[in-house]
Amino acid sequence: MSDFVQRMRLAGGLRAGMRLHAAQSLVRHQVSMFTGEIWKEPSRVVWTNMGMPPELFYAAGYLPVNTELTAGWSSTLNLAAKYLTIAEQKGFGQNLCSYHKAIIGAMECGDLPSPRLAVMSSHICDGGRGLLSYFASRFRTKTCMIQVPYGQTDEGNRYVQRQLQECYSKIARSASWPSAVRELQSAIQCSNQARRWLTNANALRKKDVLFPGNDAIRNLFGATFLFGSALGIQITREYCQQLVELAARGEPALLEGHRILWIHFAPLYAGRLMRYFEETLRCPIAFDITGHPYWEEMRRDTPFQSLAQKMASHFFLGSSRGRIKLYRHLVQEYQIRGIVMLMHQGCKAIPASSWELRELGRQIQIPYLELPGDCVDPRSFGEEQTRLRMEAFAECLGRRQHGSGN
Amino acid sequence: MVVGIDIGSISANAVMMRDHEILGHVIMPSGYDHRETVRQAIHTLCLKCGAEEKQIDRIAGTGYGRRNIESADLIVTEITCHAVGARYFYPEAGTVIDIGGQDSKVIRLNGDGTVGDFVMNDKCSAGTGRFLEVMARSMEVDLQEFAQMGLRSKRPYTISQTCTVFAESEIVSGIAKGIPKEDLVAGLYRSIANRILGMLYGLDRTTKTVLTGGVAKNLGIAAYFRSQLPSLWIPPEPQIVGAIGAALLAEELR
Repeated sequence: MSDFVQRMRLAGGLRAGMRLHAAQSLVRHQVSMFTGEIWKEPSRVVWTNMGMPPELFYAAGYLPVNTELTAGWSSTLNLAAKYLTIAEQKGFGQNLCSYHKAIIGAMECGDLPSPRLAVMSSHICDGGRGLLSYFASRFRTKTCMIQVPYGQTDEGNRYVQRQLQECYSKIARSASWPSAVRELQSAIQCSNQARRWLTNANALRKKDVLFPGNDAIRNLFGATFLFGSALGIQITREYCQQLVELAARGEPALLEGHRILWIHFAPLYAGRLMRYFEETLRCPIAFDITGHPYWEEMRRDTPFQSLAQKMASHFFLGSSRGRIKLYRHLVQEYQIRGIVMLMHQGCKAIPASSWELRELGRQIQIPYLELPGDCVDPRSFGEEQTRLRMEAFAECLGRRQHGSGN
Repeated sequence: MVVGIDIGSISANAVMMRDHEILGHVIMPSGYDHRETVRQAIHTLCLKCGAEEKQIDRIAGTGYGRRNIESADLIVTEITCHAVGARYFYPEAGTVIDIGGQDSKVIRLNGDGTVGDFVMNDKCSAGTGRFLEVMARSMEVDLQEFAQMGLRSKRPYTISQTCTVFAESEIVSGIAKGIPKEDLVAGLYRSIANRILGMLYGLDRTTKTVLTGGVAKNLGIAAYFRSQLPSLWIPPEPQIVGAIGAALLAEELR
């Protein structure tokens, strides 16, 4: 049995301790997927990345396995260092993104099965293309790359739409699945319902911090990979209903303090430090960018067009001006008092706009903390240095509050 | 009467204050046993200031060893303390550069003196006091001499490496090529300062800057910073600015 499977089973046993019922359900599904389905039914599995709309795969009868989610789990399971070392020994440079390298390392050592089918989008991060090429040459994986243009134009949308249509008919045919538009419409309906539950849950987070936000960054983010399935509706509904209950109890917020907007993912191997930040330093993560449903509700009658629009509307695509506008909006909506961005070291796109976030912080007079680190790779993580930055940031927020008399 | 103690990686600095007035300070090696260092620092400080330990109302601790200050009533990060300490000397200061033994920081201050933003270099020893120690040792130059030798340079040598280990081998190559020592030392001043100036420019390049930390006492480095930052202030004893900030915060506890 592979280390990944073994530890995943152990992690599954710990899910009862999770505060959010939705996270428990989500982990139950992921444990089943990583210990069962991906090994037993490899022809049903499609490896994909977070830029791709999962609705396409559910409609075609596939089980999408997200590479970012998988790499994240390798970090949580304390296996990332092993996988990254294996990938680096094969010649993948130290400055490449750890999310992709962790997948390569895990597959190379047999801890994860090699993929038969992989579909990725070119956008958000540049590693997807490289990973896809690697799969094709190393494992003879059938691959499909969806090219997403930088800007949002009608022409660009039509271009993505055509690729999605072609991809859908290919993968559905390969699965001997009826590539009828009806299945896709049904998946879109499921996705829209899940989106509504998520939006309602987010609305409840605007006032009080009902749970430590790191739980959402770590676990709930994976719910978006279920959009298009019935399970996606179930989990987002569970999430929203629990928040309704928590809010209705009328108790003081679980966490009082300086409400934080978190940008990017968190270091997945440093849960203790994140708890320290939220609970001891009283900097609860009121909202994180990964929980933002960035796309509009999709139309059933134009499924490919809607999916193309969803892809193109991702906030990490295109000019940083749009992102800054979004951050400004979230700061207002969620009554944010401080912004934190994890500068994921392998990422060449997202940290580049850090200076603009700093500018935004100055304009709206909200402290901004830039945390150097890596979401997946624990090897160069300096816990004490990160703790110092977090403490200094909390002091900065505290002195501001003290100065303003609040 | 209050005491601020800053336990850094190389030195422990303690300051005794009363009503915003500095009564005395001590600077001593941090040593291995921080708890013992704190006891000695307080004892020495009391002797210097003619005070008794029981007269100390509050103690605030800062620096990497701050959690080892058992007697502290308040523990604060050195980032906040340097901000407060710098404003004590220069109320108009807009940014603070603190170069310590194992890290360097640039802190931007808000108009009210609170920390607006900060960046740190703590992933490697480049841009720290330790970097200078290693270089001085490899050149067999005493640290005091090292701090002034580069001022005599006419053609500072270009050190392209920022990593301490590789910069050291670059220095060794320079020695082998017969480059005068003062040019090598001046090159090192620039190397360390330029790295930190990059951090400063990322935050703010328009305001008045205070240089703090033990490295600020290196005349060569201070001179290079002055050449690049016309509005640079260096406090009379830059090494104790963090401890002063801690003491002032202890006074605020009243």
